[in-house]
Amino acid sequence: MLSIENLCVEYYRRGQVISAVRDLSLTINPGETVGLVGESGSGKSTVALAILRLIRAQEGRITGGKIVFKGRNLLALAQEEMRQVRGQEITMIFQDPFTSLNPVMTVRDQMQEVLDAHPLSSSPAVVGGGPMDPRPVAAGDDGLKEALSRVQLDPSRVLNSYPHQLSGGQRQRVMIAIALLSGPALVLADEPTTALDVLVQKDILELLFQLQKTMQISVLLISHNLALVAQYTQRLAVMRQGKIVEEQPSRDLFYNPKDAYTQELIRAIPAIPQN
Amino acid sequence: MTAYLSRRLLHLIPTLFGISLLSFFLIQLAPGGPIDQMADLNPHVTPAVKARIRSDMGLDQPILVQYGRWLKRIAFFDFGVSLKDNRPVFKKITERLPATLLLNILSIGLMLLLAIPIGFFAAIKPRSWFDRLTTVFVFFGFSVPTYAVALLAMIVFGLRLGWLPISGLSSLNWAPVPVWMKVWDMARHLLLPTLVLGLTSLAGLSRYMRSSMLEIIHQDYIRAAEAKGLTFWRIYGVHALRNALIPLITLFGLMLPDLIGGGVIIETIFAYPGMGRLGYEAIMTRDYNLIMAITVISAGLTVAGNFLADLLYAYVDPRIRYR
Amino acid sequence: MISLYLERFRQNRLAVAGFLFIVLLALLALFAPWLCPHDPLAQNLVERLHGPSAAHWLGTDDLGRDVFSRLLLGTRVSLSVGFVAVGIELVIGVTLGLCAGFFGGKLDTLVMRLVDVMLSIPAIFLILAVLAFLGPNIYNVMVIIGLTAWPGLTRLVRGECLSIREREYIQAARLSGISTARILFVHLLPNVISPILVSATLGVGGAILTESALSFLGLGVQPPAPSWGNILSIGRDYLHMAWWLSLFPTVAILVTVLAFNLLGEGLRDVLDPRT
Repeated sequence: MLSIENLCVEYYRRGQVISAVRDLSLTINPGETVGLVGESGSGKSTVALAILRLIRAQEGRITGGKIVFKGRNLLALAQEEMRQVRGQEITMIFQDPFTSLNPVMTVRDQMQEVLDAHPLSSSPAVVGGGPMDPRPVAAGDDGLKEALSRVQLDPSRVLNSYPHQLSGGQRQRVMIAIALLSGPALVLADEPTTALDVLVQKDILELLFQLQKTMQISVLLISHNLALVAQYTQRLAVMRQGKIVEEQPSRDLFYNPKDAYTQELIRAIPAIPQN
Repeated sequence: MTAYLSRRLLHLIPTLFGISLLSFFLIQLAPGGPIDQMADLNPHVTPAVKARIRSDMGLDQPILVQYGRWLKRIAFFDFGVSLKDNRPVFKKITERLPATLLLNILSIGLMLLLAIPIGFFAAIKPRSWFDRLTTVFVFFGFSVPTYAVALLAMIVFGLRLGWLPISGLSSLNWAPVPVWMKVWDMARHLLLPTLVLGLTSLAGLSRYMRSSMLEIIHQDYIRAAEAKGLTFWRIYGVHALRNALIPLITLFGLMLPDLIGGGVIIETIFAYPGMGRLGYEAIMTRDYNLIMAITVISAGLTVAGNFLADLLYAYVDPRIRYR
Repeated sequence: MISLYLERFRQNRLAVAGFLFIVLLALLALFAPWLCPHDPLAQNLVERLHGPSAAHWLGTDDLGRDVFSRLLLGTRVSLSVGFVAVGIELVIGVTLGLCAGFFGGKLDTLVMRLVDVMLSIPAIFLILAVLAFLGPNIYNVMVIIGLTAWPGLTRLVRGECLSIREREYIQAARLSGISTARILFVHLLPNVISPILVSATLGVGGAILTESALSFLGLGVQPPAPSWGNILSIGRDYLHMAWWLSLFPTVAILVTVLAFNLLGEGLRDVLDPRT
């Protein structure tokens, strides 16, 4: 469904040009969860930003490759067409729930505006094209409330709140609700739990993947935590300095890593000695 | 929010006290004092008469007692009489205050109307020709002496081109003319002073707006808004703008004293019948009661303005409004 | 470290231009008496109100004095008032700001109350009143401008102190038992220096503007001593026939203050820790 082919991305930093992503190819199939793991600076977040073309002109640019989504090359789309894809067919969850929501707008406003920006998503017939594609949400407050209860939040309490009145875990759930609002085919989760406490991390990931199964969405899960990602994905790719060094079904990769770097990452996972 | 506001209100009281104290002691710096002023012009006033007048006015009491009495009087808005024409000072001020308020409010309006869009568009396209042009304009705005701009404007628009009047608030044949003509006449008189007064503050405000916007644009929630597929205007005109405007409220409060002060020079040059010019004349003629009163009142206006800004801030920022 | 700053500064051409102009101005002020083509105080009623000519490059004023020479001598006034006023402002403002910011408590409250009071009263009133009462001369002008400018600086310094005080390295220093004075001067001050330096530079420009406004209103430097402001005030009386009396002092003030502003902003860009 999504196929990244030979992607190359450059960043500008202090007058220097850095290759953040080099000749990267990756496929995500419908209903599948794919993990993308790497250390800081490996370029994994850049991949997500590149898919949605969120890289700003002053920051850097995509210098080569294709990103084919449902038969169309996203990199060749016009600005307005790309805008339609964002938030509707492909959505993103960001890393830091404390800074990813606008502090001066209510949760309702920040949810409703997604629907307002993509009016077509309220009518089921237009979105997607196959039996695997999930149903979008009903219009009005009821639709928003339904979206909030889907992520296990109390709708009447949360809908009219401002972000600062919610906890980190609650804010992340709101972000997930927003991401699922218009019934996307693919969700990019960029380190969705890194900023949260350990127990909350587990809750959020469990929630995410439950929803993924019931709504039959594809997810690209990006993280630096190999153990965590291996648990929740079907396939796993390891990134290093802009390139994918290994890609296998998750279990296979975790127990039989072929690449030296992957082996190092796995060895680095702390284990309590037996004696 | 009530906690925040009541704290702010509590702050006001010592500040107002301090203002009255400072104004009172400012006058003590004056050589001689009001008696000598009156006496020097009148050869009939002997030292004995001077002493009598002194004790009548309570000027022979210890300084703190004088201060206390003065304070009690001004609490009831009794600022005494003008030494020039014996009219009550408060009345003289209230005659001129509306004109000053009009000038200031119009200038503020003009400033906001121009500064916010300028800062907004400069930030959206940094380093564009618009940004560079407005930056140049801002630098000049900071560097130019306002009274010089006023003079040059008077030369160009008043004398050479003859488009606009260069003094006062109304033309000579004021009375027998229909209302709309009066308004039009007033507007013509107001145009130059308003422009000059507002223009230089405009530079500061637009610069601040620009940096505020730039800071906001780099926030995560703006990128998240883009990822939602919102339109350009929704992202920058709603998400970014709302956040960028909030710190501007505080800045605005801080600019108030400069506005009121700048008004003094502008009003004097344009012979505008406002409080600022009254203050200047009062200083020149050593009209002490009037000077003290204007100082206290302008400072009071600033304090009130700052408090209003605080109110607005508390209302607009949900992080304060809802605990 | 310093060389890094110098290099960055050199790249900002406008700031360098500003700096060079100020140096030029300082030299002109220093050697003014020898550089004047005419005696700035010499009256020549035959030649009063002549426009710019070969004999008088910038024209003559209402008493036949050469405007160019008077402008040149006026440079001394502007620069000396600018630097002395800012000097006074720095001494009072930085000391009070450091004390308030570092010691906190009652001292902080007292100082900030005083600052609030002084910032509420329009400085112009205080300045005009004091000059009217104590007599207008250049020394009073310098002192009163400095005395009305320090509150803004104090607020700035205190703010910086407050934010730095809570940082770990300061707390570490305190825990190690280092004396208060040492902490103040060795650890706190260097970090506060950059905003102070920027503020001082911009402050010189502001002081020059204020001095010229005062001389313009007749409460600054008194004739026959020349000041850019009092030349302008003559210009006001002869608005319709001697434009050169208004234009040239304006240009002088404008370019000078602009130079200080460019320098100050340039310093700000160079010293900003974020870049």
